[in-house]
Amino acid sequence: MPLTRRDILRFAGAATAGIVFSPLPWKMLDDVAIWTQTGPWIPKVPRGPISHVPSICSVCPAGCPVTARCVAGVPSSLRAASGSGQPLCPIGLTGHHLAYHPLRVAGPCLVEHRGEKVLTTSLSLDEALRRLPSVDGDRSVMIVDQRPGRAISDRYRAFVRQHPGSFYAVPDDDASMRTVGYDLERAHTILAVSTPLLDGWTTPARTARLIERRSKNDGLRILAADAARSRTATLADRWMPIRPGSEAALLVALLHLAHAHRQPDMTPSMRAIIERTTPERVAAAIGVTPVQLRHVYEKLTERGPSLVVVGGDGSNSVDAETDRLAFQLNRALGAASNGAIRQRPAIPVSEGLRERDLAVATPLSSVPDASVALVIIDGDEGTCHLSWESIVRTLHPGASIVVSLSPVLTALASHADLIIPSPAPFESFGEATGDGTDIACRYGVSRPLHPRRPGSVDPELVLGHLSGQVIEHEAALRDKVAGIWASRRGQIRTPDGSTTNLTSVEGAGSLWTALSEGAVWTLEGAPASASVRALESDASATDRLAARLSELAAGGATSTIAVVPTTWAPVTSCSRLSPLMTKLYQESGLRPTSEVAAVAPATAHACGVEDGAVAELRAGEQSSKVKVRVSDSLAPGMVQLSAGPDPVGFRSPEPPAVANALPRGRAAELRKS
Amino acid sequence: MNRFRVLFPLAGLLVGLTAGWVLFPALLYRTEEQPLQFSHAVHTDTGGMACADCHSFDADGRFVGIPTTAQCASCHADVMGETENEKRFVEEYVKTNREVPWKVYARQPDNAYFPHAAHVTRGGIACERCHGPHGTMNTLRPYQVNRITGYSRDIWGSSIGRVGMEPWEGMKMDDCVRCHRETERARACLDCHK
Repeated sequence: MPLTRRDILRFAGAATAGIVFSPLPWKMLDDVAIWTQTGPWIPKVPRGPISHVPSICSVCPAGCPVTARCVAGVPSSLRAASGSGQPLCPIGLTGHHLAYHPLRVAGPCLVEHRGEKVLTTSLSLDEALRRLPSVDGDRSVMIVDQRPGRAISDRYRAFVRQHPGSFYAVPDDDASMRTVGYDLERAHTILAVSTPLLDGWTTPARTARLIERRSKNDGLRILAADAARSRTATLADRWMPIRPGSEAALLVALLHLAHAHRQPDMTPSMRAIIERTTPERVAAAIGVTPVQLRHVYEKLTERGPSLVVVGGDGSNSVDAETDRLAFQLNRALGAASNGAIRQRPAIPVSEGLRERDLAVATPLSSVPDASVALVIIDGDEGTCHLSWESIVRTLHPGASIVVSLSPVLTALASHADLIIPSPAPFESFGEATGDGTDIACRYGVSRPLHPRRPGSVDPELVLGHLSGQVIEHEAALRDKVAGIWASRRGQIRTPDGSTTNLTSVEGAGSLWTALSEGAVWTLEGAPASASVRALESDASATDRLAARLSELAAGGATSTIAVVPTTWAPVTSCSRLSPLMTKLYQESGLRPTSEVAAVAPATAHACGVEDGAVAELRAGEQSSKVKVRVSDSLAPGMVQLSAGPDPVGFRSPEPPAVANALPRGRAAELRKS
Repeated sequence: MNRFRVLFPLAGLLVGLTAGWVLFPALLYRTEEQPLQFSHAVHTDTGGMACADCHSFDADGRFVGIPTTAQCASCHADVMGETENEKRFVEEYVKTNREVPWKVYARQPDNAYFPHAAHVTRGGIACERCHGPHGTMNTLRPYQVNRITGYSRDIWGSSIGRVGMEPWEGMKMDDCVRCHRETERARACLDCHK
């Protein structure tokens, strides 16, 4: 019997049918599905003994006490230390994820732009260090410190002091925020001007205390002046919708009502501005009525201590003039004399260094254009607002090089020429220098919890290469702790909640042991009157303020739409937020990115755009594609979107979107794309 | 002639069924021996011990799983019996303070969270309900590992078709859900997949 093709097909078809009637295909489906979750590319959950390690969170400067639950020595979760009585924010709760961030830089690398793509080429550490130019009389260096107050900050300052013409630069908002702290716990009335007071502005512990006081109805009154009905405005006793960009005018009007122009130490030009800025004159420009302004002032004076807080959350802070006005208003309300605002003390410098031998911090905007040949950007832009434009203008037009020490490929790092990545949070000893809104300065040390990734380099090594004086990271921190101990001021608070005066601590070694086991050193500030000089406006600032008020009173921009930037630092810079939270925020819409623009129903209708539609937001020469979200939390004529250095973070780095360059109240157009 | 031709599809069907029911499971699982033999029976019968004496819960209520060498050494610091396995255990693991790399029959995938405390302590479920007569056996069964997933065969159950299995066999999600359904317990996704 000859075997035909039909026979073979019958055999194969029947065999296939037999397999279908067996568990093979179904079991294979099941197993392959599991295999996709257990393949070698999936990080494996460690198994082993469980331990609980007390530490602090050093992801942001606040330094909240945490307990790390470790499995086989690897952190699996972070929670607030039980004795601290402080909650943790979502950033801190997922801080141990950051070592696994998908944008981690594996090691020293060169950065190259090809079109919109960013390419990195790995280098050995020696090769990377060889590419750093020597710093001499002709070549000046600018070190941008995004986390001032740390041990390495002291070393940077000493290095810059020894090299005339070089700069130790800090973000502008950082320099201003660190001068005066707010005693929110003491205040009975708080006016939050474009400030997310109850939504990430300060530490979770202080926010929780404010909310608890509100819930207990103990007399705390919160007033919110904001262009949008923010979360803070929703929870406040009173929301006063103001035009974006009119914060300075609002404060000057309140200063007028407080008769601040009668204060003897007021400069004549400032006195003139306040005297002529009556509520009637600027109310329309602010978007309120004179009666509303007087009502807010009455509430502020009705039950003190009263506080006026301004500024965003580090990525969206108001300008220095507005900050000074808020200080003047607080002083007029008596906050300086009753202790509601205080001058934050500086953290003592490291042992072996003297304050007078260290360079003074220069706000980045004060560094002259085209003045530096080497820029070293320390850290990532996770906790402050730093745009690439603010860096690039300082570069010498000739041969200049920008080096980023960021552990992740942030927007700023992607513009650098060279990246020498530092360890991620919890990979080495970290530092927390205290929340900039607090009246106290703090210092804490977080212990390394993760095994350190090969390729990451301590900033001390890079600085040591430039200065010729290499110091180990841990040794630098121990010097800082020794400097604090030598000051004999302040107290330490252990994770169980007990406090000890520093004078009772036997030596710097004991202090180091306590801090590395989760304790935090704290020093409360002095009355703020001493810092009046530092915050008083100079002549040029007064002129700028006068010009702004005139522009505002004259009607400001002619466009129909004003931009209301809103931000929450981790959303605008992904480097300090776990990808898990990024995904949660983006998919839930809890923290929209700059790709989502919120507009009032009337504005959407007028612009011809619908909810969910893609539209073009244009401001001057810049434009950006945005997804429209119609929201009644905004007044007509405004568009709200996130602003910051890298709002989305996971996109390929590109020139800043329109939102990043927009100051508060910038005029814009919105039209259907 | 045509009668023979009918045999081709029948033979194909037989080959397919054999491949699916016999050959496939034989190829899918790899058999591995445990590093040591261990008699549960000696401990539970002769020794009069209960499961929880060794497979205990720690101070915060967490099930600790297989006891560590240090726990075993509280009794077996020196050789107590006459078996070769005990002698090896003491020499190779107790005296060198090493952990025995046991192959765990009931280890669940990493994406599944199973709290023993909720089932045993609170629910009062006997160990045998899920682990069968494991605690009364004199030897450890060969450990069969799925070549694709890397997990124990006990998760799926001894029968490739999952038919005719004992009530305690199988630790797939279906088995968990069935029991929860029968006992009218909550079965939300996040209960097991955190």
